Amino acid sequence: MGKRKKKIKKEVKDLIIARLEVLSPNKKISIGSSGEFTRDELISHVENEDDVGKKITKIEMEYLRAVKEGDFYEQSISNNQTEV
Amino acid sequence: MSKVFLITRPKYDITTHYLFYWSDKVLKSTAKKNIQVLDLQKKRANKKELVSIIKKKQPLLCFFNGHGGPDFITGHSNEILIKFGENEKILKSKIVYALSCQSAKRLGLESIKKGTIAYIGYKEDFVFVFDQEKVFNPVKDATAKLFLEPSNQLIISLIKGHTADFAYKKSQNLFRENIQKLLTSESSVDSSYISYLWWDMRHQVCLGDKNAVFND
Repeated sequence: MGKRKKKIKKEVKDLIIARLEVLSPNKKISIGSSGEFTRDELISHVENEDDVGKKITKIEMEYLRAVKEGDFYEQSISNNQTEV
Repeated sequence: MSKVFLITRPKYDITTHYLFYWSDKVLKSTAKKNIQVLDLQKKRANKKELVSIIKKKQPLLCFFNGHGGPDFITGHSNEILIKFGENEKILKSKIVYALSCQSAKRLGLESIKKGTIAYIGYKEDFVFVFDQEKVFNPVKDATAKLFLEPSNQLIISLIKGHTADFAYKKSQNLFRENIQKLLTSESSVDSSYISYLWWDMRHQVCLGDKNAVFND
């Protein structure tokens, strides 16, 4: 049986697009060997739910989850690393 | 006897163009340090030259710039330089920093099993934001700096003779500082980059001997 493609939930997609809309149109994002993308290109990849769209969704969701669960503040605000 | 440092820095698309120019700063840090630098740049970042120079010069510290995947690191025009199951043994007895997407996931892990001293890299894609108006002068790109300076900090710390763990933590701290800078910025545009910095910081790993140092 073929592998079913995982779809991005509509509310997640809307959230990611809303976050991407804030990006400056003059900036591009380099995503490894996938290439470099403008804000509008990224939005269209998320809408199409292709590999780049799924990657950017994963990046944004990982961050939002870390904020929700407190990991983000623990790791990024409190400097609990060894003194360097 | 001088220490030997190898760098690969292809330059054939916008991403490698940025990495190429940002690595100039790394090369400057080797000056007056009794370090022999093997600079495989542009077309010279190919498998044949890499394998030959590693065999001949046995660099202790290797810095790979370019694209990659879980199993491999690429050079000029996406040519695979090192691949798990093929030639990862050439990294034996070396300290490696790979600014190359995802390569720490498998190649890094497996190369440690085959004798690489330490492997610092990324388990996922290394992502960075850049200003389209600064493409012709990438080192002046303040947005790209947020991402590429923490990376440079890591290899510069290794060149200075700090341990792999110290260099890793120094880089992590700089990512953290940049996130804090953006959190306190009044611009919502700036704060939209935080998720990408968080991604790079979280997926950067230090494998192998954390006390490894680039010494004679």
